[in-house]
Amino acid sequence: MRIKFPHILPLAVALAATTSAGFATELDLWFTPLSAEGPMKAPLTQWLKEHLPKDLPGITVGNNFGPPVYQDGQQKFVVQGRKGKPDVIESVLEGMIAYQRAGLLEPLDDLFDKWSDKDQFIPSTIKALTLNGKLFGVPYNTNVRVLLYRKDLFQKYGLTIPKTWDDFLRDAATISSKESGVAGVGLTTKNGSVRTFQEFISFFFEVNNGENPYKYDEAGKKWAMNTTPEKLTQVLKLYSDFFFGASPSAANQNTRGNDYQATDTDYVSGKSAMVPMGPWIYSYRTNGEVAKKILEEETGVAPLPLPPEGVQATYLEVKPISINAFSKDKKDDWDLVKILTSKDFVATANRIEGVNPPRKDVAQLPEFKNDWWEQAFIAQLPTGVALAPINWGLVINDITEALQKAIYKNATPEVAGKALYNTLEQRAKDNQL
Amino acid sequence: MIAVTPQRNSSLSLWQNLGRRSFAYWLIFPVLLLILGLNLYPTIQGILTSFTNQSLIDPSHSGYIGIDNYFKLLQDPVFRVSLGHSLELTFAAVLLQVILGLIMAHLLIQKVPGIHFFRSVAMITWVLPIIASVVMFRFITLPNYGLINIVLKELGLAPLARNWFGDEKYAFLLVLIMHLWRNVPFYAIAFMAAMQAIPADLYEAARIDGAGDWRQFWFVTLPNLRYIILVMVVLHVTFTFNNFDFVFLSTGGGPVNATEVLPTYIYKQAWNGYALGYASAGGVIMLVILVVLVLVCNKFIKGLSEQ
Repeated sequence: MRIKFPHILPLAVALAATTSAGFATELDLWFTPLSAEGPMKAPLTQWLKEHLPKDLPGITVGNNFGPPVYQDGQQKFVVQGRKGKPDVIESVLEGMIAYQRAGLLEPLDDLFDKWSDKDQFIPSTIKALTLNGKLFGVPYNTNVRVLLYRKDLFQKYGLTIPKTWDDFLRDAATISSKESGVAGVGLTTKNGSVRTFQEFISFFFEVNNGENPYKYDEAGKKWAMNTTPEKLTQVLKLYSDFFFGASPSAANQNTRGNDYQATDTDYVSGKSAMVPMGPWIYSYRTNGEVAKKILEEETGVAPLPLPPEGVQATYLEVKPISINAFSKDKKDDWDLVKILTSKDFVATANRIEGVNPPRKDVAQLPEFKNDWWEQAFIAQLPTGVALAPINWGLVINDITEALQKAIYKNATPEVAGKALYNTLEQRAKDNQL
Repeated sequence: MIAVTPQRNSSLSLWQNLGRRSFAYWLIFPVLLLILGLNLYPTIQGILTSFTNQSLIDPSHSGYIGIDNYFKLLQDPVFRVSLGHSLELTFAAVLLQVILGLIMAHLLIQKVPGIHFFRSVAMITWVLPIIASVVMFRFITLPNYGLINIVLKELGLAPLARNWFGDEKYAFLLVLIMHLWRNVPFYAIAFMAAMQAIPADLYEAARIDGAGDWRQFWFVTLPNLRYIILVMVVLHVTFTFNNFDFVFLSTGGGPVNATEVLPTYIYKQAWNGYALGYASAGGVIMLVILVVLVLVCNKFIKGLSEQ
């Protein structure tokens, strides 16, 4: 039998119409905790599997949640973002600033303002994600750096919670000298490490009146220095004193160059008595009985000690969900963003990681309200300072390099501090920020 | 055996000759296209980018800036340190790999019971992914839980225990050791295979002439290995000079730039600072050095073979 073209045409049109009606819009979502092996992956994947079909009918989300490491995701998004994929991306604040500079993010002000949930978000977290007056992400996770200390060791040696840097150094040195195999303080000092930078900048904010090292000069239309060599030196001197100020030293000299994994592990295994830390370390209590006991029974939480004439300020971490400016389905993207920053999702994600919710309604849930760990960190949230919207990549390298010079006695804190100031100033002059 | 070389038919014009061989050209055309597309184009693009101030996060404001990037690079002390480390590491690693590879090949070629087992396991280090090797080294050198420090403490040598990768004096040495650990067995297997191909009568003739073990090695074994040594040296000069993984994964270039090498330095400029033009200039300098190194290696080994 011969099939003529006019017979096939309506059939093809009908088939195309039926199949296209059956296809859902597929969105690409990059969400690091969903692709990295960790405590969040399985429960959050399950949550999405259960909620997306009913909350987002007609939309599917791809199963590939992007690179499992933020830095890798950052590199790939900067290169491929203009192709429109991924549609929605979760990131760290430093990454979001770079994406915005590259013109890859969609401003969300109009959409956010119309959202009935908008008043649930803590204003400081929204402010941190507002760059040049526009909102580029909705927060789903926040935390600040505080001091974790071992209550049992403090009690054993009659120490009180350190309030000043001098107390901090003295208490740490006391524990190092009296408790065998335990360093008074654990610090992250690997060069180029974001964590090294975050700890440094927390101390720096205290010295620098709670302000960033750069300030935007409206008249000159460029970034300018907002600190002094002396202030940078003051922080470097604190690090130097931790490693060389007493004998035995307050911080173990053999841990110089450690990255965050070693700092975290040392604390939960009892090798250090104090650490500047964020709330995520609570998830280590599943690592074994020692870690569980240390975190649940023997740890106290306090604000970071203060330098002379310093102010209570610390690094504020905010993790946003943003929309790719080149995505073709912005309406659907926004629906997905709303789900990923919804009360239920934020509560689930934050509870697993032990971090703080950026939503007031989540903070009011009994599992957050009645949890001493959450409350101890939430109490410090108002002291959090958000990073300025500059390209931090090379600045992080400069700061960690100067820090290493000071703790490896490659230069005195004064020389390293002055050199760091000059380098940072040069970056501003060369428009590298 | 008669060697057959294609001869151009002098009675035909160039175009006629080309036409006759067109089938051969069509066969190599896809590969040529692939090489041009994947190697030549990015190289030329990289060279051109090195004369601009192109930034990954500000792509619309890219402009020609001449040789500014090269000037800046040469003035940057960290770049100079990285360049020095890259050259030191390449020279030390390749030299030691050849020497230790020869020694190991000499051991593996011995006919003793169980030698086949050792020949088989020798390649394990080379087969392991670099990330696995680095993680293993990082674990065994950890200050509190690392095997090396635990053994040192058990032996009463606690003062020697340290954070090996975090120690300025030892970090570079450890990076070198990781290169040796991975590559020496590979050299050994390659050298062993070449040694097995040396005719036994050459050794017999040498023995008749009164040559001892050392002179046999020097005048029979080594000259017969020169081509495989050339291949291994050229390959590993390129590999070591270009190697990024060992340093980046173990120390990130620290402490205090003690292990910073050109690939990690360039990576930081490109991906931390997003300064694509500046990083490309570093890449071009690296390319030039690498070409010179390979040419020097070639010349050196050719000289040896002529002797």
